[in-house]
Amino acid sequence: MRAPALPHAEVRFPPDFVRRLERLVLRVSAARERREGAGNAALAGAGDEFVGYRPYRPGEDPRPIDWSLFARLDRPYVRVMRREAAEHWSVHVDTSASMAAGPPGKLQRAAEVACALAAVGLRVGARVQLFATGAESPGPTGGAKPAQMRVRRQADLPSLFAFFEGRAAHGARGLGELFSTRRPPHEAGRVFLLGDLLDAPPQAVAGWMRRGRELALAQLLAPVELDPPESGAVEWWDPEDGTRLAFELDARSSSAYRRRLEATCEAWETFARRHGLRYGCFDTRHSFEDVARRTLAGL
Amino acid sequence: MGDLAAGIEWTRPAGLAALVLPLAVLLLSLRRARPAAVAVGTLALWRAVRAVRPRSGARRRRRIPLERVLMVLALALGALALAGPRRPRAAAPLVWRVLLDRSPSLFLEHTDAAGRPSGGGSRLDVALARLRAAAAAEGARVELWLEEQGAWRALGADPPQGAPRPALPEPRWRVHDQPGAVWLTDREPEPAPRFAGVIASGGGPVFGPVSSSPATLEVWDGERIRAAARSDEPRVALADDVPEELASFVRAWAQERGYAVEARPAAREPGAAGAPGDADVELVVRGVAPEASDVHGVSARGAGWSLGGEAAAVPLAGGSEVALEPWLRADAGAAGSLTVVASGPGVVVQGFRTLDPPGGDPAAFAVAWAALLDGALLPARGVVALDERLPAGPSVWRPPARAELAAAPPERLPAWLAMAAAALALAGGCVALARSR
Repeated sequence: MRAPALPHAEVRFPPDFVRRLERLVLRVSAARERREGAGNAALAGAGDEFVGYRPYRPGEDPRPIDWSLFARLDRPYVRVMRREAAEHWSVHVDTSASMAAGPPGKLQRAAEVACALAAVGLRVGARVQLFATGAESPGPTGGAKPAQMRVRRQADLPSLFAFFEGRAAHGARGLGELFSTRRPPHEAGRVFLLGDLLDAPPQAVAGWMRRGRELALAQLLAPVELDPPESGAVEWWDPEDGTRLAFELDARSSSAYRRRLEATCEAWETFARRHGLRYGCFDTRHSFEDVARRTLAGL
Repeated sequence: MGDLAAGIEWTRPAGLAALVLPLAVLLLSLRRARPAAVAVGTLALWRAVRAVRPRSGARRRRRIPLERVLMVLALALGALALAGPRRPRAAAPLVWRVLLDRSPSLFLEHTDAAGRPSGGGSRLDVALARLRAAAAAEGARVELWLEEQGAWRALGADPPQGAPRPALPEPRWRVHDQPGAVWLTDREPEPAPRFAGVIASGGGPVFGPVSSSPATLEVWDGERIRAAARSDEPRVALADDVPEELASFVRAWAQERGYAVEARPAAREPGAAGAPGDADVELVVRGVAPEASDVHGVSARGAGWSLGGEAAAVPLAGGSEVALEPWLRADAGAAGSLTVVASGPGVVVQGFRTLDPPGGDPAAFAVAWAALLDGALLPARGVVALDERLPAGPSVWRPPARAELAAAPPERLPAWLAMAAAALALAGGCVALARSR
């Protein structure tokens, strides 16, 4: 049986994408400066060199609290550490075929968020390395696209856009396989994982955790996955393995599906909270700015 | 239902072909369409749902959405309305009411373009022959009718024999423009009728006398009019109930004009004697029947003359097919004013029983009465006005509109079907709109 067309499989950046990206970078930088002070904005974060203390804000990760100081002063203070001079960010984007679901396409939104993360990383002086899980996925002209790319300065951003532009959701290699077969670069201090996180249990990401590394997970789901219709005939199709499932939808079956999806997302959220990971589940109808801001919140 | 369908006629049967449209929509709706394939990354979750609720994903009997059912019905009713259904009508016999033109030209001999007789008889005979041939071809029954005083009078199956004397005008055609009516004449009237049929004999010129005097006839030969001596003796009829004072004047006038006077008995019944057209005389002067009206002492006054005596009123209507116009009215005292002298084409009727010698100027009296008699004279028999003798053009036959169709009430069934189709389409649109929200 011939596979249906996937109209949302390819990444196509909108014409105003660069302008929106620049505005986002400015806003994120300004927020960090307001939070941490202009002088230290590019420095504060997870690192090994002690800089000083600042008051603890409710809702923050309690681990940096200096408990001995708290015992002396009876007020919580957080240890502010100097980030390594050349911090390394690692952004991994799921480009498997299931990311073609949409509209808007999951890969489309993931690529936009990845570019946003890279732009912010460059702004704070980090070296950013991006990975596409579906190695050598076909490009728009039929040639193979490289699976990874490094960006060190602002001038590399156009190359980054080209890295994603025209990339198609392809194959069955998602984040699940990545967790089981690869590890992030050793020097990576911050690791971002962008995908639907449907092909692996939360425990699979444990191998990627280590002390001093921040892990952020953005689970991107298409509207039809989050909120399926409650009536009508439909044929669900898994673009990764081509299997189909004809379904006559009704309110009860859709409700049962939603409960299962919520359980899946809650499992990720619980795991992330327990291990100090950042996690967010996003509808692809949300703008990339929104997803990127919430993924970067507090970093 | 079958009887109902069999009892329907279609005015536009080709419109039934439009039923293909709702049929096609229905078949497409019944066809089990493959549902759209939707790519998701959560197929495993749906499989799990199917495992727990196996009936959820089971295929169900395909139901046609309500809005589509309504649309199919609307299309079907619209197609039926397009085909123009109607209840069959009983086949009414086809009857043509033929209104005859009795003007003088109809009684002229039918000729060809050169004026030679065609051998078909008069123009009326030719028109009637063509009418009967057309009626036989159409299966119509022919009724001949005349117009008299604005109303139709049945003539029966036999046409009139000979030209009426005095001559009659054409019927007022436009008054009789009705479905089922046929105008029978020699040339098509202007304007052409909308509903009535027309049969016109056509024909070429008919040469002959166009005017007369007591001594001569003016004869048209196709190029010019020339005088010819009359072969007959022109006569006027004088009834014996005309007082001698007037009778002597009539005789003097006739002698002066060159007419012989033919004495006739007084009429016993109104209009029975001296009726115009029934004799070869060119004028009848008569009295009023004794029982027709009461006799009064009267006095009348003309321009410079007066007249008195005993007279009965002259009835102007009835008793004669010629319309009489009052000429002299007299004062009858308590009885009021009476018409004592009236005239029409070919007839002068006076009511005097006794007559006093005329007063006033005798010459004025003579001039007035001579003008009355001159004006009432008929032309010689066979004289027909020149415009009646001119060519009548080609023959014309146009059947009339069917009287029963025109009289039938408008068929409402297509309108009802169209309205029902519109209502169903509207309902379907509303249902579709409500579902889309």
